[in-house]
Amino acid sequence: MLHILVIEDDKSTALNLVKGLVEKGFSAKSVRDGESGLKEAQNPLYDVILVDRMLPKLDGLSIVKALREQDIDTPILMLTALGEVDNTIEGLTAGADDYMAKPFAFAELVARILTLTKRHKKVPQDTVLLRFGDIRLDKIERKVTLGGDDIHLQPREFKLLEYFMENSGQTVTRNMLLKHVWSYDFDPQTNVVDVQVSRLRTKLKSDITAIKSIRGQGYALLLQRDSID
Amino acid sequence: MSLYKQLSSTAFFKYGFSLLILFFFAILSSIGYFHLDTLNKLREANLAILTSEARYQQQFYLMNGALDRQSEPAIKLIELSHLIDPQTLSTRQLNEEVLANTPASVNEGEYTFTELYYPPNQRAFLILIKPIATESLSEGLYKLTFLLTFIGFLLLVGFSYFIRHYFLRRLTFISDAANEILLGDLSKRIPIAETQKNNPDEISEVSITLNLMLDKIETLMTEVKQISNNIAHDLKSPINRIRNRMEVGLLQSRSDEDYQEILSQSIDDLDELLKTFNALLLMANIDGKKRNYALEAFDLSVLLDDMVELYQSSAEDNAKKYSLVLNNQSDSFIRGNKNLMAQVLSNLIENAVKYSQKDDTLIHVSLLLDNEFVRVLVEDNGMGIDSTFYDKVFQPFVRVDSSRTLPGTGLGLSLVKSIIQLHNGWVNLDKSSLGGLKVSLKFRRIPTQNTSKAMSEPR
Repeated sequence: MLHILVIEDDKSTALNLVKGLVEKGFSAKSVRDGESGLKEAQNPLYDVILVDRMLPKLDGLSIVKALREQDIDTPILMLTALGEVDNTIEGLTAGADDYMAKPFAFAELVARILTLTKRHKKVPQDTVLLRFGDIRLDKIERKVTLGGDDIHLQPREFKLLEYFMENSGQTVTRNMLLKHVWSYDFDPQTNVVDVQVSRLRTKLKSDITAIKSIRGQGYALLLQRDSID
Repeated sequence: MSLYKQLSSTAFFKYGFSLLILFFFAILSSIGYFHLDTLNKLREANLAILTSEARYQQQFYLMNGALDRQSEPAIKLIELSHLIDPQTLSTRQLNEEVLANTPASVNEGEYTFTELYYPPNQRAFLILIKPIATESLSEGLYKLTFLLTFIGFLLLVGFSYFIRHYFLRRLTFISDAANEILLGDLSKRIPIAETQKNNPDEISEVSITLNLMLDKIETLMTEVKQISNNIAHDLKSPINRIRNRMEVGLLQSRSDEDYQEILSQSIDDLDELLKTFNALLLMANIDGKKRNYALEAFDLSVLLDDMVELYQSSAEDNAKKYSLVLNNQSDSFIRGNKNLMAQVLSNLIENAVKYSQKDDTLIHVSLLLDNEFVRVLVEDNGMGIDSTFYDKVFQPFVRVDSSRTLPGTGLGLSLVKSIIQLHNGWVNLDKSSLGGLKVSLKFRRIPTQNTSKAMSEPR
C-alpha cells in the first residue's frame, strides 16, 4: 500500500484529498501547516508527498528545499492555485518532482502519484510487449492483437492504445490523452478526443476488456467485469 | 496687477528678469573699470586732433567764410576789434589785447584760447577750441546702457506674455484636462485648435498623442466594464444550472444511479466553467506578459499535420460531418509556443465546424510560404461573419448575435488574437472563396538550418 502525506492548509481540500486517496486504495494523512508538514515529511514511511504551495508558517517551496537538503528524496508533487509556468519551473528547481495547478481532476492526481512512485522505484517503463486481458501490443513490431487476431490501427490509435495499456486499470483524463498521445497541451472545446477514443473502442470490441467511460473524469482500460469505482 | 501676476508666475520671466539684472550690473561695473582709462585716452586723442586738425579747420573756415556754420563748433575764431600788428606789440600789450577780446565763456572753461592768428592784411583772430567732451561720452554710454536695459526689459515682458499666452496657457489646457480625468471624466480631451490639427507644433503634437492615449485608455476601460458584465452573465447561467440540478436532486431521496448522474453532470458543467476561466487566465497571462512563455523554433507545418490529423480522424464520427483539407508545405519554422499554437488551430477549426449550418462543411487549411513570412489560412464554407463585425469578434465575450445560442465561451477568437500577438504575428478576417470565413495568420519565418541546429544543441 502506498503512503501519501498531504500538506494542505485548506481543511476541506485536505479532507477530500485524504478521503479520495483512501478510497483509491492509498493510505493518506494530512497536516495543515508548513512546519508540522516538514517534520512529518521526514518520516521515511511516505511514498509520495503532496505539498500545497502557499502554507502557513513555512511555504511549500521551503519544505521541498529543506527536505532535499536533508537528502530525503521522497517524490514530491506540488499543488498550487497559481499554475504559472514560472512557478512550475521554480517548484521543479527547488526539488519537486511534479507540479499540478488547481483545480485538477482527481483522476489525474492519482495517475501522477502512480507515475511518481513508478519513476521512483525505477520500474522499467520500456517493456516491449504490453498485455492486458486479451490485448497484446508489441511496441517494436507495432502490432496489436485482440484474442489472437491482428487488429489494424492507425499510428495515432496505436499510441492511444499504448497509453491506455501503460495506465491500464487507471482513469485517464482527456487532457492527459491530448498531452501524451498527441503531445500538445491545449483545451479543445469540442469532443474531439472522445471521438478518437470511441473509434479505438469499436476496433477493440471484446468480451474480456473494454475502454470504459468514467463519467465526469475520463476513460479507463478495464476488464469487462471490473469497474473503476 | 493681474498681468504682473500672470507674468511673474512664468518661469521664463523669473529667470529672464534675474538675468537682466545681472546683465545690468555687469555693464555698470565694466564701465567703472574702463572709465579712467577711457578718459585718459580721450584726452590724448583731443590733443592730437588739435595740433593737426585745428590748423586745417581754421584754414578751411577762413577760405569758405563759414565761421558760424556749426552751431557749436569745436573751433571758434574770434575776430579782434582792430588791426594789430604782432610785430609792433610787446608781449604784455598782446596779452591785454587778447584778454579784452576773449569772451566770458572761454574763461568759464568751455573754450580754451590756444593762439592768435594773423592773416596778412586782416585783423587778427583769436583761436579758441572746445575740447571734445569726454564727460559727455561716458554719459552717453550710461544712457545707452539704461536704454538697452529698458528695451531688454520691455522685450522680456512682451516675450513672457507671448510665451504665457501661446505656450504655457496651452500647457494649462493639458493639466486642466488631466485634472478633469482624475476626477473621473474619462471622456475629457485636451482641446486642440483647428489650425493646429493639420500642421501641429510641439505642444499640439504632445496633446494629440495624449489624446490618442486617452482614447485607448477609454476604450480599454469600456472593454473591461463590458467584459466584467459579460463574465458575470456568461458564468451565471452554468452556475445556476448546477445549483438547480443539485437542489432538485435533494428534493426527495433517489437511487444511487440518479445521484451519480446528477454529480457527473455537475462535474461536466464545472469543467465547462473551468474552460472559460482557463481561457481568461491564459489571455490575461499572455496579454500581461506575466508568464514567461518559452518561445522556441518549431515547424508550423508539423503542427498543422498533427492538428489536421486529429480533427480529420474525428470528422466522420462527429455529430456534424465535415471534411478537412490540408494544403501543407514543409520547413516553415517560426519562433513560438507549440501548445499555444495548437490552441489557435483547434479554436479556428472548431469554430469553422461549429458555425456551419450545413451537413457538408468544408474546411481548407493552407500554409503559404515566402522568404520572409509563413501564412496559415483557415477557410470554410459556413455562414461567415459580416465584415462590420471583423474587429468586434476579437473582443472577449463578443459573439455575433446569430451565434449566441451555440455553445462556446465567447473567448475563442480573443484568445487566438492574444496568442498571435504574443508571437508578434498578424491575424486577419476576410471572406473566403469557399463562401464562408477566411482567417489568415501571418508569422515571421525563421531560417531552417540554423534553428534546427540550435535546437539540437544542449543548453
